[in-house]
Amino acid sequence: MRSQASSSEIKTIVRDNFKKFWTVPAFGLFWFLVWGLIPVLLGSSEGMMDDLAALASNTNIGYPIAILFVPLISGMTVFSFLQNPSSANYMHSLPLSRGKLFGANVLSGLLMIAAPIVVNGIIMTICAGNLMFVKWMVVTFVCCAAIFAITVFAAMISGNTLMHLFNACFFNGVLALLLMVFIDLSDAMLLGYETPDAIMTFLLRSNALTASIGESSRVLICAVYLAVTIAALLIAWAIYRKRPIERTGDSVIFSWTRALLFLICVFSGSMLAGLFNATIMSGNSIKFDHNMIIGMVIGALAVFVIGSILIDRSARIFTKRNLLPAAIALALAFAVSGAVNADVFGYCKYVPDAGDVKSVYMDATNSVLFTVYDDEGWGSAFRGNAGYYKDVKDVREINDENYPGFSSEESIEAITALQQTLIDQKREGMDYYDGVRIIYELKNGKTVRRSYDIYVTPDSNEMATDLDPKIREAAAALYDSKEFRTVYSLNNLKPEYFEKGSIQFYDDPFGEGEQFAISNEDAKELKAAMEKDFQKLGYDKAMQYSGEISVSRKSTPLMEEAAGEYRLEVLELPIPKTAKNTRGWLRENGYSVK
Amino acid sequence: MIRVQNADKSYEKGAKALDGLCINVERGSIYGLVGTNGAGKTTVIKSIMGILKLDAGEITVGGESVYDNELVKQKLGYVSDDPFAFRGYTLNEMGAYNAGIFEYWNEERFQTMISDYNLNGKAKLSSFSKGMRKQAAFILAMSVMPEYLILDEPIDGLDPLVRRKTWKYIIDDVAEREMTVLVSSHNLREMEGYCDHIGIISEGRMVIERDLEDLKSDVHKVQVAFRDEADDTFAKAFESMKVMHHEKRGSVHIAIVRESAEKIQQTLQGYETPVLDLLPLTLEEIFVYELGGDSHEITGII
Repeated sequence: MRSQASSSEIKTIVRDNFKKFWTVPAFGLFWFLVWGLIPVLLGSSEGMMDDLAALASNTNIGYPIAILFVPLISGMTVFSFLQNPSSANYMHSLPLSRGKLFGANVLSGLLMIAAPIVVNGIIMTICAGNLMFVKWMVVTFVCCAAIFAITVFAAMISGNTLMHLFNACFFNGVLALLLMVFIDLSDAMLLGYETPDAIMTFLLRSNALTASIGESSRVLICAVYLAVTIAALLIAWAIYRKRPIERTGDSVIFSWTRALLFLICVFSGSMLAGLFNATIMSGNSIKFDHNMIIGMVIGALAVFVIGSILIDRSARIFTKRNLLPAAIALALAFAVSGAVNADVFGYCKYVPDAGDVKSVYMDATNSVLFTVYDDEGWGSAFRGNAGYYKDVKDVREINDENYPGFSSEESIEAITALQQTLIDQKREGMDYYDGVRIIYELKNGKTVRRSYDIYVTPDSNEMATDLDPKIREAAAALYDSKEFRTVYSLNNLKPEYFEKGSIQFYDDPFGEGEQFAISNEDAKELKAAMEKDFQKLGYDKAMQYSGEISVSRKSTPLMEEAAGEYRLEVLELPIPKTAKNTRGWLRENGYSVK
Repeated sequence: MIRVQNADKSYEKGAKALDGLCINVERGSIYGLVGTNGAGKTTVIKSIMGILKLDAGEITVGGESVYDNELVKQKLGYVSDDPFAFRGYTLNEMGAYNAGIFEYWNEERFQTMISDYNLNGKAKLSSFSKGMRKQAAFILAMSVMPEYLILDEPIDGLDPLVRRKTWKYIIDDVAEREMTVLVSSHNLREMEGYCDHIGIISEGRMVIERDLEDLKSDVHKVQVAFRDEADDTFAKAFESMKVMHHEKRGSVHIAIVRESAEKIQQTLQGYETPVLDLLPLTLEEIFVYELGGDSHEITGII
């Protein structure tokens, strides 16, 4: 009895892969259901749409685990025949071209990935009653396909299962690893370094797993990772055609793979170990000094030894083919660290010319620079968040708070001068006190971001008066600028403050305060008095604490839960010691003011 | 036919497995490939199966290049020295897999052979002994109705009854379908009984490739004793013949002579020889003498 098998080889391979590895898609579906459908069905109907939205954007904990492991395991299983000499010999003895063998197994893997995604997507679409899970299916499948394709590439260059797993994880995350190394290095050594938004976004999207999380730029992510999938599969195919089957069983198939792995791993390991050692030994002043060098050498050696044993599975690790790329990697790490330390590109010293700046934003208004202190050092922060004010269109988010922009020549010059004092301040032997972030939008369209720590002497009371006099002088120049007084005028506050809420008066930071309801007329008078004092008092006089008024606005439960909104429910207005108008009004209206 | 032309293959720097190897396996013949360990037998077999790619040279089967050629590989049946099966698969499941891949899969033959070999098609292959796995691999290879059967040490480790049965299947297919067989083995005695062509390889090169009968008829072991022997009697008697090996045990000379039986007898007619025996060499002896001595002996044979 004869059988027709001419066009059914692919079907046979796909069918048999499913027969052998059905547990992978089955477990994937189970995982999606356990982390998705079941909690949604068991949860309350009120929060159901929010839960579904979180699932559809892969922002719950469970979905990303499946997004990583299902394609990884699928890729490892369908190409597991390449990781064992017996199976490799058998499969390549069959009447199947390499193209058919490659294509059939890729198809198997993609179907194994698609099955749980599609089934889960259909179930959740019915549950949600809208198309959010259709989008989820597309994004999740594309991202999983990219992880799978890179795992297939790893199969072509690996000779055993352990190395296949390592290479699959490595190449899926190598871009993120290198980016993090450079970010860490820059953060440690470059004064004022602040990772640009674009770099952080790129970091989060530099691998398919983290790129699958979130709602934004889904079309772009799909396009990019579809291209990554196609490119990885094409490269894998090209490598497979050259892959010598007799090398199966060796940890690495091609000598260039060995060199590449050593280069990247030793480079990254030495950098991270060097930074770690330097941080422990040097504290807040990390330089390319003996502490860093010792750490780098130890890190390089550790990665080299572990990597060599993993690859060669032998104690004879000090071979030329291992030592050469490791030595190059360490030399490269020294060169890069030295260059960053020497600030060869002038990053640390750069302060934009005030004339080149279109607008500038900073969170200094929430920092120690504008905090009002009492004699014992307890302070009340300035009302810097743009959310308190009406009609503020030009804002930037810094650390989850919005800050208004400054565009006048006077305030820009004050801020650039402030930046210069922060660069020039003394650090050695000083204590960290607070931090300031500055964002410049230049007239040429570029954005410059900087982040500085503010230091005080170790024996200080950590008050504004303990700051470097030059820093205080620069802060004062900004506080006293016309634009600052306009932007932060109390007349710009949103109507719900003062007029519709309740007010609490505190005469010391630990007191319970007196709460009182205030009529709109009285609120207007109080606000007017406070505004007079704000416009009149200079920086030095304004930074001395006397008490504060806490104003609550009318809220709804939804507003309380929204991120950032909760902080805006209460506005705390410090009363300087020299605020005659404010203190006068309070006394006249029966409040015991010290 | 199977033709290997000037095959070169290296695994690592300086370790050459095949060095200009040439093999010619005629259609319908049973070709025995012999060689010492590390001679390159498995390498050339894997290259013929399209598993390995040669560094240089060419391998054709039926006139077509075999590497990555699906149509040619449909005609090849293969039993590896290390039979493989998918984890957890039974023999029947491996058969079903092969049925989906091989165009000429013969299910009837498959089941008949399973029964004949007394194996359990429903049992997992992992539960089979090493010998049973080899039998299973042989059954799978024969059930694809190959035109060319490639066997890499298939018989080693099988009991005599099973070996006989296996050879019977092979010979029957050679006789009925003109199947061509290439078999490598260390069991030279057995190969001698079934092969009609022999190729002896050493260090990746072909040393001898000959019809087995021709090979055996060209070389004889001569046991001779001379009456009234002088010191140079043997040398004089054999001076016109090619002597590959000579030793004396008591008064009897044992010589391996590359010469026809008639010539030997004719030459020794003039001597009084109370002992004169001409014995054909076994394949094992030919193998030993071809590969165990220095290069002069090998050159002498060729």
